[in-house]
Amino acid sequence: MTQATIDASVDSDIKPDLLRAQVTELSQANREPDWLLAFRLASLEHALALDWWTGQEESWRRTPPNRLPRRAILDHLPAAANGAQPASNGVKPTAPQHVFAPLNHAGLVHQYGGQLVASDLSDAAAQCGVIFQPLSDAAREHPQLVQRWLGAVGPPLDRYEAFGRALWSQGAFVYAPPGAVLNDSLFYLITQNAAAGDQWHYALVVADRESQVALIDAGDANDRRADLKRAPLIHANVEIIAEDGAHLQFATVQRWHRQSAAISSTRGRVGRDATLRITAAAFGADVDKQRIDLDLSQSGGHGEIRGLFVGDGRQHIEHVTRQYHNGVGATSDLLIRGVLTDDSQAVQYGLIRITPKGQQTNAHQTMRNLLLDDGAGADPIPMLEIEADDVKCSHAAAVGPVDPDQLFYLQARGIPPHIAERMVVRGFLAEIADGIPDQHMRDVVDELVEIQLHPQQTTHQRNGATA
Amino acid sequence: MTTPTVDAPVSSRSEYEFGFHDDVEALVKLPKGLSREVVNTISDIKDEPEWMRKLRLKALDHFNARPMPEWGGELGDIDFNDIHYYVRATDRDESSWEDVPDYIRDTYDKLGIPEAEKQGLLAGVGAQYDSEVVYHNIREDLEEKGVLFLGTDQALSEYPDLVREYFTTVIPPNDNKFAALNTAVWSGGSFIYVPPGVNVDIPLQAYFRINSEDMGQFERTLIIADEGSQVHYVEGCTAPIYSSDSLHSAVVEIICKRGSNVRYTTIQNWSNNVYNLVTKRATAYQDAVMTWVDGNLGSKLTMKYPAVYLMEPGAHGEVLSIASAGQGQQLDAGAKIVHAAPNTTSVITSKSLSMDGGRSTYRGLLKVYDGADGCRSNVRCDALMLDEHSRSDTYPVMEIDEKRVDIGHEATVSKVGDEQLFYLMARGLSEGEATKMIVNGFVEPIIKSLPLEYAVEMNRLIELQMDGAIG
Repeated sequence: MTQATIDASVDSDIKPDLLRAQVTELSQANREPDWLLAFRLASLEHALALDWWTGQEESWRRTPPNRLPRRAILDHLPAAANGAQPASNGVKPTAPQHVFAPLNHAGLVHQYGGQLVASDLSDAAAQCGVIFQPLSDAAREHPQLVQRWLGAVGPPLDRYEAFGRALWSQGAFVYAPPGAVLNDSLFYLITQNAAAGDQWHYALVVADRESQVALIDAGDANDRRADLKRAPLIHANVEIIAEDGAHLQFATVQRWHRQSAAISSTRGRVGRDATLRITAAAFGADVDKQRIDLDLSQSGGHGEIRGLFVGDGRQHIEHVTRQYHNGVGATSDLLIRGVLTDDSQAVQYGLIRITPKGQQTNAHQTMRNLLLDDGAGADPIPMLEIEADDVKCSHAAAVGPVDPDQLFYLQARGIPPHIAERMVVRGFLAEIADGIPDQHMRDVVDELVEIQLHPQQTTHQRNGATA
Repeated sequence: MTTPTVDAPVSSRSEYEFGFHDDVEALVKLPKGLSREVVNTISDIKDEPEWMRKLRLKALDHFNARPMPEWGGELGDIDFNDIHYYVRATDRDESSWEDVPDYIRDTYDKLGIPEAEKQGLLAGVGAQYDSEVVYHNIREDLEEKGVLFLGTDQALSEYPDLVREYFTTVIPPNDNKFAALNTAVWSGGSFIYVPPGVNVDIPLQAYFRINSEDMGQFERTLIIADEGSQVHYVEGCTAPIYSSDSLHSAVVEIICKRGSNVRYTTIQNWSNNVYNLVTKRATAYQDAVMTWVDGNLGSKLTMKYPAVYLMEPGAHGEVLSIASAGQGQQLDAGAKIVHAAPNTTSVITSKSLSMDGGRSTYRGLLKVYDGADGCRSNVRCDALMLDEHSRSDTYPVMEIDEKRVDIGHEATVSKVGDEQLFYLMARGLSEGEATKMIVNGFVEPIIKSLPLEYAVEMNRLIELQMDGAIG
């Protein structure tokens, strides 16, 4: 276990006045309203007042400290200047082909290196009054909506999230008005400009009462083979509000540059009798640390967290989740399934928290990790904190290789070992991938799983090479 | 001499029947507080070898240097300068029950210790009163076979080389803050050595009693099971109810050599003003079997996670844990299993009850090192909540660095089922009786692994606790 302590002198490098000036400049260049600048500056003060993680905290002690650039905040400064160009400054730059480019969609926002490169909204979506645009544009055009919901999920849970609220240079706003129903998904595409350094994203998704909407948030990188001098930070804050009776699906898929450090905080608030499903699939980045938080404080709400990942090389993939039950009769379910090859590592640090108000809660979590190579490892940590007695709660976690019985069954039917292993693995992940709301997207995810699994390698080669 | 007095009950656990204390002047009672001087004095009183004194002082430095743990329970209220680190009531460790001072003997008579020995239910008995062991006896046939069962202090003076060979080899002095404290001021505890191939077929028992107020009990137990031997050790703990809190911080080290089989059973029933912060760890070598049976009912705060390190192929570790937390109690119990060799197996079964505002926690670690292939482990923890004021937590940590393993973990938290209650009440049982019956069924898998008389005792203690909680 890594127990390295962090150089405490890092903080002394943060220059608060410079950051304040930078945030102000960024906000003004985006022509943001005053209240948004105030929100950014308040978040910055909040962030400055907090401490960095030291590596001793339970939720950080399994994260490899040297691979997460805490100094990234400082390096943000040039990146902010890049991102500060307003989206509507005339000529749109062209972005490389995005791996997740949709076939059918109800709306699309595509940002590349902090700039808007494509946007679109179907007639059907426009007719129901759905809003889908870059966050700073929305703040100007729909200030009352954005102001009402921005940060409404609660105060930041850690310093990254607080800095993210202050420093974001690209983002999106989704609003589905009461009763709006969209058949196709909305797509928020981000192409990472790997050479441009750190990126800070901020997405705000609001499904108003009784609406039904699905958003796919997909990240790709422009040049995945580029050898970068320093690991870029990709930070994302996603705030999701499902109002009473709404049905909201949110799927996030990422294939960032492999040297990136990806940190995200996805927080969902589930209203009365509302449903929110969050699906997260991870392929890229060197370290991917995702916090997913479900707030179930209204009766009858239902929340789901589904995680899928395929790790290879030295990747570290970490989920920090919380199912927070503070209301009567809400239900939630977490299901994470991951496949680990080479020397990749996974951590799932998941908490079901039921307060005394959470009577009649039904909450479950399951974490399953398939280890395909000797160097791979997994630390599933499913935790329960329960203060109400009339609840049904369970968790289960498992780590192991591909079930030899399943392999034998397939091989007995003439299927070669390496194909049999892939079939079992794809079947294992399918239950999560099926939660992605768009068929084409599911196909792409399936394809990425194949690529990540090194299909050219057979089971025997893999075992032989490491035995 | 003095006569024991029974204090008026303090907490809701009015049924706590061991709450009396003896009003007696101790022979030796070091002033409150912890310092090098206190550690040196303890070492002087015991007339120890120099290496032990040095070890104690080194451990004291570790203790002072280490911060308090910030997880688990609230430890901030412990005032280390308000504790007597050494209290001795008598100056001898007797091997005849009649020679034990009357007031101490009365205490243990009330607890039923000599009865069990008379009836031949036990192979040996040890009793510790405050800091010192007051009584140790072992069946003659076992003694002839070379089984050693005596106080750790006595072992240190009679078998210094044997003690030195194993002492702190399983739990180093700097393992954690409380293990360091124990190493610095330890006194008493049991020392057991079972020679190769010897089977101690009925249990050895020790009974730990805190009598003095503001007392710290720091017993140190060391068990060495040589190759192919077998032993079952049982310990019980009680203390009087005082208005101020006591500290119990034991260290238990067990070495299970090849093919040995060791079972260590604890029935912890401290009064509700004892901080129970204990480090227990065993190493199991080839084909050895180590089992911890851990029943936690008493104490204000317990933090205890019996551990088994599986060092060689074929070793098996097992932890069976029951915690029952009532009013004002936090029982942070669990288990640690480390698979450090291939083809090792382990099972953790935990059952916890929370009632009357109590908080019970399962906190566990399951670690599989890279290269420990073919390991199998199953962890199962269930919690039952008896009312809406209580709290149940589960923190199972798994760290798996090897792919050829079979690791599973499951946990549930629930309340007593309405259908189950209805079924029993329809057959004429009151709600209280029905609840007790369901709770009995819930803890049964662990109770049945206890020797019969302890199983009866354990069920009785849980029922007493429930009487306070559900009326």
